[in-house]
Amino acid sequence: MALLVSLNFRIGRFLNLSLGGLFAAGGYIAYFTPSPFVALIAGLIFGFLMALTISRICRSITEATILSLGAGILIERFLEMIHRSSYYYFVSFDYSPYLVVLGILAYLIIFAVYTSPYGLKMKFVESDHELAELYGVNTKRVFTVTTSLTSACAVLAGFFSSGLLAISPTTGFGYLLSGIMVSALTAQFRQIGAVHYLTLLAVSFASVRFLGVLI
Amino acid sequence: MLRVKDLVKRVDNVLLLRNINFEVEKGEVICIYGPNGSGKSTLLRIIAGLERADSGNVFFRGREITNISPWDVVESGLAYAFQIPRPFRSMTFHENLAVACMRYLEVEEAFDLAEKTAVEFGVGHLLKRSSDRLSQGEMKILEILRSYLTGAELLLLDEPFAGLDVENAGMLRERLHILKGKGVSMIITSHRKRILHEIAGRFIELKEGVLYAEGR
Amino acid sequence: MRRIGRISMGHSFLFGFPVFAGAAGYTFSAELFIQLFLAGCVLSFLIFYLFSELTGRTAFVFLTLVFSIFVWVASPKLVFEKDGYLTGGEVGFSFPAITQSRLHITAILILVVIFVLYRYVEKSRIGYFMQAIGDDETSSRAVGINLRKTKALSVLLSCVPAWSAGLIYGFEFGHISPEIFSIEISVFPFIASLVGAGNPLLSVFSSFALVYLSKILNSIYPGLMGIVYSLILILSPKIGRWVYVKGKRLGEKG
Repeated sequence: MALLVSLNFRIGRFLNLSLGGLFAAGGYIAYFTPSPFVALIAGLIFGFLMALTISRICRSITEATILSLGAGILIERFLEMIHRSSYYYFVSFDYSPYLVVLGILAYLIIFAVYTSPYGLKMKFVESDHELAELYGVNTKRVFTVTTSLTSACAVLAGFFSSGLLAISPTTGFGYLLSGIMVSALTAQFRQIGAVHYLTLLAVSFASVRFLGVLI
Repeated sequence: MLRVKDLVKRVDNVLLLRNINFEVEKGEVICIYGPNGSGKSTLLRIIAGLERADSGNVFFRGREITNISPWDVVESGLAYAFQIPRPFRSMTFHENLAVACMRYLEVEEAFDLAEKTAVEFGVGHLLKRSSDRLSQGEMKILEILRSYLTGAELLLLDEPFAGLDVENAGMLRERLHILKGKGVSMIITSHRKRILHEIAGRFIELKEGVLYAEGR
Repeated sequence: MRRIGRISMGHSFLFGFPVFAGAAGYTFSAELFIQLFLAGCVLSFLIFYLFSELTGRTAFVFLTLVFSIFVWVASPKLVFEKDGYLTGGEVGFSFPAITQSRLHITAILILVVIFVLYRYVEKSRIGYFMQAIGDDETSSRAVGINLRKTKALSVLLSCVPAWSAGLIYGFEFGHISPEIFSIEISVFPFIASLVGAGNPLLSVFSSFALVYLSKILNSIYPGLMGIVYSLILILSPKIGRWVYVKGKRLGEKG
C-alpha cells in the first residue's frame, strides 16, 4: 500500500485516498467472483475514470485528494449497500502467496522503468511537472497510467489478501493509513527515482517488524 | 538608531554575509547597492527577523533584536517591504493599509489613519480597489505605505525600484521623498546606485557578502 | 480555520474526542466524565494548533484527515473492564442522560451565541488578522501580526462549536461509539461549508438541510446519504468554484 500511495503522490501529485476503498473492493470481488482478472479490470477502469475526472476538474493537489476521498467513500458506501446481511465476509481459499508475487512484480516493473531511458522522464515528473512538460514528457498520460495501474494493484492486493481478512467495507482504511505513514516516513529521506522505492521497501519491512500491530 | 555588528550568514557552508558592520542614524536614508546575489536582500531579511543570522548582532535603539520574531521586530519600530509586493489578496487597498495599523489602533481609527495616509500620499483614489487589481507601481506603493503604517521609524525597503518602468519609478520616488520629509529613516537596497542618488544620504556597497565601501 | 488559510478535513476529532474521552470516564464516575471531557478539549485544541504551526495549507488538509482516520481505526481498541463486564471497543460507551427539551433549547442558545460571536470576530481586529494570515503568512509577519497568537485563537474559535456540537450529540443519543470519528463526520463540516457557499450563516442552514435530507434518503435506502456525500466530494472542485462565485456575488449584493 505504501508503494501505491507513494507512486500516486510522487507522480500523480495527489494523495490517493480511494486506495483503501479499492482494497476492500478487491476482497468483495474475491468473495463474489473469485477471478483476479475481474479485480484487475475493475481496478483499471476505476483508476482510469478517476484520473480522467481529476485531469478535467481539479486544479490543485488538495482538490484531487478530496476527489479521491469522495471516490473512496463512494466505493465503501456502495459495498455496504450491496450486502447488508452480515458485517464481515470470509472466503474459504487463500491467495496470499500471490500477494508476494504481485509485490515483487510491481517492484520489478518500477526498477525496469527507472533503469530504462524512460526512467529519466519519470524523474523529471517526480521533481517538476512543468519542467517535465518542457522536456516533452506527456505528464497527463503518465498520470493516467500511474493512477490506473495503482488502482488495479490496490484491488488485486485486496483480492489476494482476502483469505487473511474479515472482509468489510472499511477493511482498507487501516492498510491505507499504514501506507500513508510509511510513505510519509520514507519521504523524509528526500530521494528520487528507484532509490526512493528501495528505501520505501526497507521502511515498510522495518515498520511491519516494529509496528506490526498497527500495520 | 540601528547598529549591525559582525553579522554572518551561511547557507550550506557558503558564506552569504561576512562580518557586516554598519550604523544608521535617525532620519537617515541609506542605500545598500550591489550586484544580484551580493546578499542585500538577505541582510534586510535578517534585520527584519524573517531569516536567522548565524552570528553577530543587530541593535535597534540600543536594544538587541537579533533573531527575534518578525512581529517583535515590528513592535520595536522596524518594518520590511518585500521586493515583489505581497498584498493581502482578498482585501482592498484600504483594508491592506488598515490591517498594518490595527496592532496599535482600534479598527475604526485604523481605517481613518489608512485613509488619511493614502490621501496624503496621493493614492486616495485607490482606497476601494481590490488589491489584486492594482498595477505593479501601485502595488509597490501599497507595500511601502503598509510598512510605514505599522508605525515604523525605520523602513527596510528591498529593491523597491526593481521591475518598474520610468513612469512608475518616478511615482514611487515622489512617495519616498514624502517619507523622507517626514523624518522616516530608510535602508533601501538596489543593484543600481544612480536611481537613489537624490534620496539616499549615504551609500554602502555590498559584493559577495562583503561590505566594500561606505561613502556619501 | 479556513480564515487563516487552513481547511480541516478531520473535524471529527475535535467533535468526537472530548466526548469520547468523557464517555470513557463516565464508565467509572461522573467526575471523571467532566475531567476527561475537559482534558479532551485541551488535547484536541493543542493537537490541531500544533498541526497548524507545523504544516502549510496542503499538508494541513492531509494531516488532519489522516489523523482522524487514525483515531477512527484506533478507537475501537479502547476497552475497559468494569464489574466483570467489558465496555468500549466497537460498541463504545454510554453517556449521561439529560432532558431532551432542555437539550434542544440549550443547543439553539449555543448556536445563537456562537453565531453572534463569529459575526463580532469577523469585523474585529483579530478577524482582519486572521484574514491577512489566510491571504499571506509571510506578509502578515512583516506587518507585525503575531502569527502564533492569531492562529491559536483561530483554532480555538473552530474548536468551540465542534466541542459543543459533540457534547450535544452525546446527550442527544446517550451513547458514543468509535463511529463518531468516521470519515462522514470528518468531512461533514467541509460539505456543509461547501453547500453553504463558505458563508457561516448559510453553512448552519445547509447543515440542518443535510441532516434532514440524510434522514429522508436513509429511510428510502440505508446508506444512500453516504453516496450523496461522496458524490459531493467528487464534484467538490467544480461545485466549490461555482458556489463560491455565486456566494460572493450574493455577499456583494447584500
